[in-house]
Amino acid sequence: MGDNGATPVPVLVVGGYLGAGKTTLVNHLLRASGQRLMVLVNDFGQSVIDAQLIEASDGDVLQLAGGCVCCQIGDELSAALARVADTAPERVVIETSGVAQPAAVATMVSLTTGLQLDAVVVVADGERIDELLADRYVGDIVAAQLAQADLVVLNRAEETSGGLAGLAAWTHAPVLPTIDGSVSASALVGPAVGGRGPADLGPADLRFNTLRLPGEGDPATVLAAVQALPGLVRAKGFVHAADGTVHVLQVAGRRASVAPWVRPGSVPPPGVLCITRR
Amino acid sequence: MVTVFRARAIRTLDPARPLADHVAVDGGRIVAVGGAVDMPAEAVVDDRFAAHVLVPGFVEGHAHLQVGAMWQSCYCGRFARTGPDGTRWEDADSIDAAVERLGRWGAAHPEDDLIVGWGFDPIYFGRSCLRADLDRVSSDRPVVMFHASLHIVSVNTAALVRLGLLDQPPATDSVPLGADGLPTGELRGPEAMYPAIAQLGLMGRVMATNDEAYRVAAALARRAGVTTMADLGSGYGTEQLDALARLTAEADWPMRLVPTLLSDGRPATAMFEKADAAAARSTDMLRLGGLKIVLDGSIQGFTARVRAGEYVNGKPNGLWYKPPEHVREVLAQAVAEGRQVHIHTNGDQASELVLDLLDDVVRTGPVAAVDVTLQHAQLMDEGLLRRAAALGVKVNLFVNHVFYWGEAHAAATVGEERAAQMNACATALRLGLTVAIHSDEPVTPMFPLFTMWCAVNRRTHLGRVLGPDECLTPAQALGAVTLGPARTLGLDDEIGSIEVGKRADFTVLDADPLAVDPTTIRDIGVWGTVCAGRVLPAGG
Repeated sequence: MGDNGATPVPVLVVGGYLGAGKTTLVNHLLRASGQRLMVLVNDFGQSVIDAQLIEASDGDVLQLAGGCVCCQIGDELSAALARVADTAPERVVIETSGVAQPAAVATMVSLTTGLQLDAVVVVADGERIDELLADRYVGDIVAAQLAQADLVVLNRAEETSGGLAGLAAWTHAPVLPTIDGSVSASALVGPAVGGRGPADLGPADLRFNTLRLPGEGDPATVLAAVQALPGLVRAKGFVHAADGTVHVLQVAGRRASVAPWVRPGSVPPPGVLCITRR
Repeated sequence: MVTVFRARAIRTLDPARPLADHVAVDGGRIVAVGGAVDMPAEAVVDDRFAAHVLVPGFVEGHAHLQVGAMWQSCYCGRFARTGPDGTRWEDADSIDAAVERLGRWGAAHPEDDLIVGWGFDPIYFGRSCLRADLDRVSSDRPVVMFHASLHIVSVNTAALVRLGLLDQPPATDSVPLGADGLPTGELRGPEAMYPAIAQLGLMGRVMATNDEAYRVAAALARRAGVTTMADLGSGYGTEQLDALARLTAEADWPMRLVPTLLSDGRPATAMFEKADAAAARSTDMLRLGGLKIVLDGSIQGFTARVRAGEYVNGKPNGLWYKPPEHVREVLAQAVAEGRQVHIHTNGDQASELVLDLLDDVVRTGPVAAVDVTLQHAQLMDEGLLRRAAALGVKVNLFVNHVFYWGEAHAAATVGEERAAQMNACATALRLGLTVAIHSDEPVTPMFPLFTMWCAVNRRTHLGRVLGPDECLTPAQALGAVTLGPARTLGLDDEIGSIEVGKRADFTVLDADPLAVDPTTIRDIGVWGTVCAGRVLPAGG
């Protein structure tokens, strides 16, 4: 909205209850995303950024390796979001507080000038998730967080009593199981298409496949074909329609969009890069 | 020099001498209370209150300095309200009336790019104020109407255009769409409201962070007879503390101010460190160092946490604004070190959670003192209040709700039976709890005589008595706006009653609240106050 022609900064919202592994995930993204990230956390004391990544510290701001920064913002999310444009990061990652509704944070992002919501990732701890879902005080909140996710990252997946099937009762989002909190950065922030981003998935990551679809024809039809891929996690690319128009297509789990490509400059070639779960 | 104030009557709240007619003051403190014979010989007698009644200076135990900023916009509430300059704002008893008033405000303030109203409450009108309504205020200037909840704004088309929301609204319940597919004009919840008001340049106008706003709040307190006000939930920013230190040191600053630090969820050690740093700046007139946590939302906004699991109109249970783990950590340190903590718990599940956590903290950790007040605590029933009494927990009840939202609570939020039990002042006193009652200004007006009237009469805005068994006597209600809140703030050794050695803080009334027809307590005139021995007429 109202971005004055500047490219809006994509924002990844990382939600989930206390202790689910949100900070582990953020540290992983800082190492592996290949982008200049601005990470917004409630508090440095609770979200411990890897010391190896920290180059300098100045009050509420940490300067990190690779041009990234991390800011502690307390409850002042809307004020922090309004200032993001000043520092022009390639991507913003918001680690929400443990009881936050990630959908509300996503709404705040989508209503802030210069920002564009990319996806809501909700992290769950396989060992504790069943207990939390049954908790009489916070069970409904944890359930709502899962229901609001575009993608779910399940840490300690092997500890979940009901396994992935059990979690499916609480969310329609693709669930990415992990042992140590490290999930392919491509799966989290999307494949690099026409910009900087994580290196393509190599043979080392056996949990995901990459696949390129042609990206020509009716945009809605191409999107439907992408979404029909079994185990689809992420997709990004460009569709050239028969009438000569170009469209940008993005999928992050449950969140999908296809919109006209209106930016000036060279026209990106057709093709949609898709990441699917094995 | 000792000054003796002679009054028609002095309600001291000192059980040893509840009624007097002379009080002697020296250096801002009370040196004698009683009859003429009890006064020191060397004294100047001040007779100006000979026809008036003195009560202990009112203590507003839960309000917000933010009200000073709200009065810089146009009041559009359903009930008449008196502004800081004494102007009476009549009730806007329909959406049309609110629209018409906002239009006049806009015409009177042509220099202002925006037209801003506050205090609108859709609950009385069966529908909200929408874009089409506010387009009648102005078609070219952005119009913003803050709802009484301060969680929703309604805006006009010009505002939506400026926000870039008219043509491309995001798909979210926070920006509801009308039948035409365009936004209705409501921006619901902080997630939609804050980005919008920030982009419209309104943040400064609704957050009290300048001298003018603080002075407005002080003027309101003075008219209401308030000599101590808790600003319950402050940011403790350096500039803010500098301003408050400077203002409260002024010779005619009319009230003691007790800002408590609002927890932003950082670890307890960090929050208390910040509170302690501020506490070092405390003076007689400015008391810093308390901590407040907002645990859940509001009942009428359906964001409070209720044990029923849902509201009677079917809306789902509300929200936690802080995780239980944070509350437990704060309570553990507070109890171990004897620190004061205030926890906003509107819903009964929120109150129950705090009691559960405190039970555990007291059982398992070191205990120096339990100094915990549940703020609002509106849905605590006898069982929860009994547990609170056993733990030494205090309650500051939001009894003004009975008048403003009692009917709505009966019809839509918790049902008739629970609504009649809400803000169970009498039960809480019977169980021996420390009980305060408050306004939560700007949510409802800060006027302790009105709050007393609510606690004594429990009448809804339709005149119906809701929960007669929970009515207080006028004497109990007077205690709940003086000594009760003084205890919740840890200041009862200094203020809250008229006793030798305490601060000379009095509220000067035209009639005796313990002698008038109890249905007229809210109509008693406030002559002004005496604060730290200084005589302060209400309008001065």
